[in-house]
Parts: sequence; structure tokens; C-alpha cells
Amino acid sequence: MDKNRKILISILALLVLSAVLAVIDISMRMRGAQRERFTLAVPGVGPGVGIVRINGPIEMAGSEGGFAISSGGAEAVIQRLSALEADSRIRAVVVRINSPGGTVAATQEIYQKLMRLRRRNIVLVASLGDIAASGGYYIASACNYIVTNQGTLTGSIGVIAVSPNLQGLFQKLGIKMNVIKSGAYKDILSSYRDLTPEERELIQVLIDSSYNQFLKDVARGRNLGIDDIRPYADGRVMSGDMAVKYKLADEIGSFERAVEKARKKAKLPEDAPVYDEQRSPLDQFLMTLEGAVLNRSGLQNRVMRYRGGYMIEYRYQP
Amino acid sequence: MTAGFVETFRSLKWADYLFYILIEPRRFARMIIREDASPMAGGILIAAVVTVCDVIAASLPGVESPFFYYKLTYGSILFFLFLIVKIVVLAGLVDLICQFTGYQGKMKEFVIIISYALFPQVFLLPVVSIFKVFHFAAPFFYVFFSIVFFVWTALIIIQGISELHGMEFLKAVLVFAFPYAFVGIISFLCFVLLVILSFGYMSFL
Repeated sequence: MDKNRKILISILALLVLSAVLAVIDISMRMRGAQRERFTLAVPGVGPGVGIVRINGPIEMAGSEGGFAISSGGAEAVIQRLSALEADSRIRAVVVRINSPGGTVAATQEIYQKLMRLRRRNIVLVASLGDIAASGGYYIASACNYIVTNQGTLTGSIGVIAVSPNLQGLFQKLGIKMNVIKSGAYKDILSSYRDLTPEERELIQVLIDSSYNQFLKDVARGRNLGIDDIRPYADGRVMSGDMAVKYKLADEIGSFERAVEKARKKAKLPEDAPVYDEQRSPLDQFLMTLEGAVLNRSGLQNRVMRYRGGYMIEYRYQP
Repeated sequence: MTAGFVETFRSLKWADYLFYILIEPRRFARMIIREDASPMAGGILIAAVVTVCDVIAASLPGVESPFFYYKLTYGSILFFLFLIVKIVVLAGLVDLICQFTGYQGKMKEFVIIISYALFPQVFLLPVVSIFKVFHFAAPFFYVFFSIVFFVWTALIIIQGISELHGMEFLKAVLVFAFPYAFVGIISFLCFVLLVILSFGYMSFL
């Protein structure tokens, strides 16, 4: 073969090799980046404190806006907690809560996940934001230590099921519903008729069962007796200092104080790194855009509050 | 065309084409005028290879998401189609200005020369890989060598134009610059008109 052709074919072979190596390199870095889901909020490496944020109403799948950017949901929170659990650098987790609560099952799943971390000797510190009521407080109670702001709305230990009764309106408008059902209670809590005493009793049993579980779990998380909590567990909301007084929280303080406390309880140095959640700039931009659109159109409340039917919730609902 | 491609491949003439496009573009131009086998298919293949190499090279400096695989597959096909259109438009405009200035139409030869002239751009990938391996300002050198290889491509095309029409080098430079100037001026005017129209529309809202 001609010398020039040999040179050219060798160059092409090297090109193919470099392309293959480049694709392998990019794929490996991509996997590394996916494992590395946390950014450093404070410069440094090594053992540190992970941050988990729980914002807004707690639901299993979270709310999705017009740009299909999920605001989280219990599943996302549990995923994040699992990632922190699997990360050997994480010695403590600060759970930042800003939530009025939400559905029973979603709240209980997050609580169970936090208890699992606690059993694995990962220090959990809750930091309460504007509101950590009902289900929001339920989650906080799974933590070893609760730091609350003085002005935080918390407590609201209780269960609620709400359904509008539009019977009068329907009669006024002459609307009648045709319902064919397989059992007497199939359309329980329907909005077009009154609740029967039997139905009320049935719902009350569900509510009581969820309430008792709430009490039991808060008592377990706070190392208190159920009877210590029951006097304040009548759905009342309270400020941070009242929560400390009733032993539902441990101290008044900010988010920074919660991080400090987490470091101290996990026996980490004062400058131990903080591993916060990572969002791509594109996600942040879309979420900002989504927030602006929802706020401007007044859709946010409707999107968040709309329910296809009734739900039994650990939720502060003024 | 398929028979021509197979014949060219088996005869290893393509290796000569690639070698001379890098070393001696004028000789390559002479070869494509007198060769029997068509190097057109090889030109299309080069455009495809350049596209894939460019997508990988552009992805090397940063940290990629799984979107990289979409970019490498669907994105490469998209960029390849764009590149084919770009080659045809560039060749068409070069041929247009040549015919306006009294030269013979050689559209097919221009398409072949322009597509083969893209070949040096495949070296962007190994060059950027080296800077990436040593963590030495890979994004900067990606941009820098993109310019270098574009200049190399431009020099090949200019020499090809000069050889095909027996034209002076400087005149060939002007012929090569014409499509870029033409598209640049048209794009600028379109942009200005679009801005005026947008402001006009918004002021009457």
C-alpha cells in the first residue's frame, strides 16, 4: 500500500479511537455527576450536613405546573432522603419545613423514611419556616431535634376531611343527580346531598384512626407519652415559643441555628460542609417563570387547593 | 452513484482524496476534474463524520446530562441535514458569482470541494480531547481551534476555486467571501426589519 494511504488510514483509525474514548469519557462523567447530586453550600469536602426542603402542601406526587416542573411531592422528598442515606459523607440532615401539611399517606411515608434514617444514627434536625402545621409538624416530630422560629405557625395536630354540601344550591337550580351505586356508602361525602348519621360515623372512625396514629407517632418521635401531647392535640395552631413551652419543639432559632445544631449533635467540626439540593439553571428559570405566571393569574391557590373529591388530611386549613 | 462509491472505496482512492485535501488542495481539485469515479458520496460521508465529531467535541468541555445521547443521535442527524443544506447553498452562491463574472458553471465540483474541505474539522475532537485530559482551558481551545480549522477549511475551498477556474488567489478569496457577505447583509437587514416590525406591533398593542 502507498505510504500516503497508510498515513491517512492511521490518522482515521486514531480519529475513530479518540471519538470512542471521548464518548466513554462523557458517559462516565455523566454517571459521576448523577451520583453527585449535592452541591456544596459551604466550601469544603468530607463529612457534612445534608439539607432536605419540604415546601407547600404534602402530596404523594407533588404538583405539576404548566412547564411540567414538579414542585416535589413526598416521592421526591423520599428520593432525596434515600440519596442522603446512601451518601457516606452525610452525618446529619436538616429538614427545612415550610408546609401546612397534606395527605395522610404522603405524610406518613416521609415520617417513616425519616425514622429509618434516625435508626441508622443519622442526626435529624428540623428547622421550621413560616408554617409547619399538622402534617408539616408530623414530619418534624420524626427528627431528633426541632428548631422553630418564634413566629412559625405550628401544631395543628389533628385530621380533617372537608367536602362542600351544595344540596341547597342544587335544589335552587333544579339540578338532580342520577346515582347508581353498588353499596350504601359508595357516594359518601358527595357534595349534592347531606351526610347521613351512619356516614358521619364511618368517616369519624377513619378520622379517629388517623388521629391516633398521629398522636402515637408524635409521641414516639418526641419521646413523650401520648397523654403529654393530647391536651394540645386538638387542632390548635401555636407559635414557636408556645411549641417549645409544650415540648413540641426544642428551641427557638433560625435555619442557620439548625445547621449549627446538626453539626454539633453529629460531632462534626464547626465548618463541616453543607450539602444542599442542586437544581439546574434551566429548572430554576422555568420554576421562576411558572411561579410568576401562577401568581399573576391567581392560579396558584386553585391549582394547589383543587381536589377531585374529598381527602382525609393532616392539614392546617383555616 | 452506489457503484461509483464502492469502486472508489475498494480502490482506496478516497485515501488519496483525503490526503491531498489536507496536503495539496490544488491537486485534489485537479483530481476531481479528471477522475472517472465520483467522489460525491465520500463528500457526504465526510459531512456526516464532521457532524458527529463536532457534537462530541462540543460536549467534551462541560458536564453532560443524559440529553447528550439525544444530541449524539437525533441532534447529529439534524446538524448533518443543516450541513448538507449549508454546503449546497454555499456551493450555489460561489457558482453564482463565478458565472456572473464570466466563468463556467461548476456546481457539482464546488459541492465536492466544499464537502471534502470540511475534513480538517474532524481534528477538532482529538485536539479538544488532549486539552480536556490535561484540564487545560478546554472550552477556550475548543473555540480557538474551531476558528483555526474553519480557516483551514476556507483556505482549501479558496485554493479549490482558484484551481477549478484558473483564477487568481485573491479573486478566489473574494468569490469565497461573497456568500458570507451576502448572507450576512441579508440576515442583518432581516433582523433590523424584524426589530422595527416588533416595536411597531408592540406600540399599537
